Amino acid sequence: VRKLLIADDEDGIRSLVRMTLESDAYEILEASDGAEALELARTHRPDLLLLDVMMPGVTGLEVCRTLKSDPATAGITIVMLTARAQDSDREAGQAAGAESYFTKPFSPVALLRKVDEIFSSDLS
Amino acid sequence: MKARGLPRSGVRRVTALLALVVLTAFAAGAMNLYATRKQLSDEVLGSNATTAKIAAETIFANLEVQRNLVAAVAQSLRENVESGDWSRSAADLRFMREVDPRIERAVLLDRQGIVRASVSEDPDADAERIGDNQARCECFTAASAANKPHLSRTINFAALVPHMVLSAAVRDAAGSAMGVVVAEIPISNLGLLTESLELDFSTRAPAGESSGSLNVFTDQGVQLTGVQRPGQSSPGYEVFRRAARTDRGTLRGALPGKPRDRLVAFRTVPETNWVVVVEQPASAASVVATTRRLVGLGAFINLILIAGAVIAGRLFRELEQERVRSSSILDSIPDGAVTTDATGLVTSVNPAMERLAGLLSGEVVGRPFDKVYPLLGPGNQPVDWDREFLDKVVRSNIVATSRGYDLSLRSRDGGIVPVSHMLAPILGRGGDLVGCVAVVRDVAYEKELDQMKSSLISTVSHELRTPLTMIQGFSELLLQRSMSPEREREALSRINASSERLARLIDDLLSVSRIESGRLVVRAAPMDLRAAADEVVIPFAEKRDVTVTATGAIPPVMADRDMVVQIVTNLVSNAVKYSTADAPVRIRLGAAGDSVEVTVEDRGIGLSREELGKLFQKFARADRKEVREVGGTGLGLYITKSLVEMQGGRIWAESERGVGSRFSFSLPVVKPAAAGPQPTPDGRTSRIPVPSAAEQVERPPGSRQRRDA
Repeated sequence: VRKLLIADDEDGIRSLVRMTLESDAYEILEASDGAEALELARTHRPDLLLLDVMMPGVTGLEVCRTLKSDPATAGITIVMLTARAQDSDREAGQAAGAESYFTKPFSPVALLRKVDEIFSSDLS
Repeated sequence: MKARGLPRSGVRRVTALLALVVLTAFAAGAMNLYATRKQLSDEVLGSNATTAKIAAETIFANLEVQRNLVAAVAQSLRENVESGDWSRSAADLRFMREVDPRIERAVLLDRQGIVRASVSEDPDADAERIGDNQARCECFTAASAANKPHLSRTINFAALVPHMVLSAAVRDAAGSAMGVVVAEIPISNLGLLTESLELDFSTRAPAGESSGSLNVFTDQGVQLTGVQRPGQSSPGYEVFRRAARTDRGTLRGALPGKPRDRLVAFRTVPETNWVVVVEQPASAASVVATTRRLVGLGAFINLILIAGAVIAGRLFRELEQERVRSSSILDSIPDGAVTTDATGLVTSVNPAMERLAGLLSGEVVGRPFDKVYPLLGPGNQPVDWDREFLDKVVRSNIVATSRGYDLSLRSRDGGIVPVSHMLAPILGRGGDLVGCVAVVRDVAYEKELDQMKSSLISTVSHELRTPLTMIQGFSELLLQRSMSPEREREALSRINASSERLARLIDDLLSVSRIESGRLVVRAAPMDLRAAADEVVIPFAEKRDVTVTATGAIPPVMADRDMVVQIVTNLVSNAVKYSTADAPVRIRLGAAGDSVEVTVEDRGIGLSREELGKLFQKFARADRKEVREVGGTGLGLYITKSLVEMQGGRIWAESERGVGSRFSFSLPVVKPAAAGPQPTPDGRTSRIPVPSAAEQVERPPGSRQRRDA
């Protein structure tokens, strides 16, 4: 069972992601802000983190940088999830160490495909 | 644009005029050589007297020209001296020397007699003189006291080149002296002047006798002309004793440096302590007298000199006015303006530019523009000004303009000011490039607005995308998957909530747009605030403990009922949103002076001091999880505040984090003295277009209602 952490301050988005990915293959954890995301990432070591950029307090970019700079959590695959669609935001996410980038609004099917893709490439 | 001085053409006109005067004088001297020789030994004294008279008048007229010039310069310096702008003052002194090159050095003393500016051929000597104290100098004390230019009575003969010194006070509007302009003119120039009038005294003087002469002495017998080294005083001679009592006379007597008696005529120069002495050997057998011819010529020379003095003074004033006109335009515009020559050397700057860059005109004039005003591009990288601007202007005579908000200027204190920059060619009469004018504008405010606009678009797009994501995502799931009825219901309710959220956001954005563009109309009428509050709380009270209480009688207020409902709804909705389900919300009404206050109090999450400060700003949402979780556009309180103020009311908030918040607003009561507005048939008063919220804030509370009444 893969562990998957979704961090977003909008509970509607968390609920959407959960509903999309819910299956026997994934165990889904939720964090509603950056601090909680860091805490859950450290304690549960998820395989994948879907991380919203604009969150109150610790932002998604800061969470990403912090996790990637810590050898214990650097292995977590991070997909940035955000309503910001400009190239500069994409670059900022990449600079922070995120593996991929997903733009809101998104299609749940596309998200599912993306997540499956990440895990299958992990296996190979 | 004072640093530039007068237009060159003007200087040329004045100089040409003066040259004409001097030439005429020389011509007169030359013609005298051909004057009829006439031996009239009896008339020698009389002839000498006439010569002395002409010489004295010529010297006087010449002095008048210079006095006029010094006075005009002193007058033109008023403004610069008043503001203590010594660098610009130096430009006027320079001009004075251009008009009359006989002035070797021009100096400006301040109110205390300290040298503030000095202009001569020798900049090093000038620099040394700055700061010298001349408070005890006659040129300072006498000019400060007198209303007209002063010719110093004392001459420093010890100096390498003895000078006569003209000085005039710079006076403020009230007439008190703020400084003194001093012109130093070598005495040798006086000699040149008298030589130009030199008569052809006989070369046939008896052996051992020197021929006749015309010289100027001080009243102490110090010879000023005709000697190598002036300075020796010989007060004992009869001629000076006589000159002390009367302004003219003839005598037979001794003179300094002359061993035998001479035929002497003397004449004092008006308004000076100078005496013109004309003499010839007493034993002369033949004396050349050119009297008759000279009388005519002398009068002519005097006329020209006096006319020159008058015209020079008038010309100077006219040019000064022209300069004031052209400089006042650039001095008055609020944007920085810099003129340069065709190679980019700064020729003048206006006060706005001095403020913008923190550099005074004296510090930048004559230096390359790009060295004194370093322009920075994106990322604060230096901009190649020559290539970006100057080359384009020089090559094609077109205006070179900066674009966007990437350009900034580094000021003297190291501060970086966002600016726009425009460089335009200044074309001469023949269409050739004579210089450039640069306009540098502080665009800090525009840049801020631009950034606010970008941030607004970014915020709005984020606010739109989030509910849109949910609508798209949940609807796609519903269409593609078979889900349990509970899941389907959750998805549908999420879609519904997101649609409502989008609708609310659009409503709020439209309200903000209407408020800010001034299209929102206040339909004010007397209304019962209590009834409106009661109506608002009904839907809230179904789920929560929300109550309305009033202290004392609540007089009707003058307000727009729809707006009041929106205001109270927003505040109650916030109170409910940001407190737990069991916490009460209390609405209290009470009359306070000539207004009614409404307070909405909750025991919710409260606000920190910092959050309170930003509370009523557009898109201001506390950066906190518990705030984010409840959702909102960040526009509600901004709209609420605008609506309250639009009706002449006031809104404020008190809060403590973790304890609760109290939001209050007041609306003005209907004035009892006024008959009250006449309701239109539909029960409302006439429509009044409302200016934007920003303008509205300036209006004292209640003024709208008085206008209605």
